[in-house]
Amino acid sequence: MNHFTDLPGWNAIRSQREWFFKAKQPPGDHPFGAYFTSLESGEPNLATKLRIPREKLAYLFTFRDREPRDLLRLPGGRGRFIFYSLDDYAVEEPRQLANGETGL
Amino acid sequence: MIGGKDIVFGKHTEPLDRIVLVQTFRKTWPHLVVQDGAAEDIVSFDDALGIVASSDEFFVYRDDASFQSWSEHGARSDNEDQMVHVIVAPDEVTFVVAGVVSETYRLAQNAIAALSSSANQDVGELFVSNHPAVKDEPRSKDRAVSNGSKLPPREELAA
Repeated sequence: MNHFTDLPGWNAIRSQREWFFKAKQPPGDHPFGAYFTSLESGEPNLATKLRIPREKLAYLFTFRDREPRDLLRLPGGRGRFIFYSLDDYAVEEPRQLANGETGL
Repeated sequence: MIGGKDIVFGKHTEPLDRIVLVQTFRKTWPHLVVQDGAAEDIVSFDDALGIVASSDEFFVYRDDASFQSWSEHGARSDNEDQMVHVIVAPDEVTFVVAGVVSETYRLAQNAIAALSSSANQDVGELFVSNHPAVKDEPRSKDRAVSNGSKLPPREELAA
């Protein structure tokens, strides 16, 4: 699972040993939550699919899902690749896989 | 991490339904271009019928400049209402639009109204040798509103 963000977001999240993704109200009328995607940084038209500014793709956190998955699917077609948590979402160290610049 | 508004319309669609869907967009966006979800390039409406009929994910941009802006910047306040993301599943179609008060929202409603109608009577227009003279049609918002959906979509709200 992936979380894309900008430089301030990257610095804030990686400043703690346990990654902490804060739930927020996204643009539009989507549920308040912390949002993630199963799409990789090499996905074609990634910013368009997520409908976000390109600069929000600059940094990436990748972590392993809990089993069973504890994230909700976005209703509709984008639920194939967009997931969210209604509350703040913590990723403990054993599940952290990678983080850094995407080059996007 | 996520933008736009997702409008989910529960209906099984055939390839011709999807063509009708984009045809309704064209009444407001006569210079629209289409991009397959996995492609880098865009094609004009006349060349997009294959993509629209067969792809399960595509983008419809208002025009070439809109595509260029999205490609370069992603979502911005000045291009957000110039692209509709369409995702086709076996029994539903999702339109991702700018927001409730937007041209793209009205486009999606018009498309849903067209999909809801029992007959695809407009499809024949696509296959005549000369396409309808869309340039002569009333542009836009007024027309889009006048064609507005009488069947509101099932909008997915908070889980």
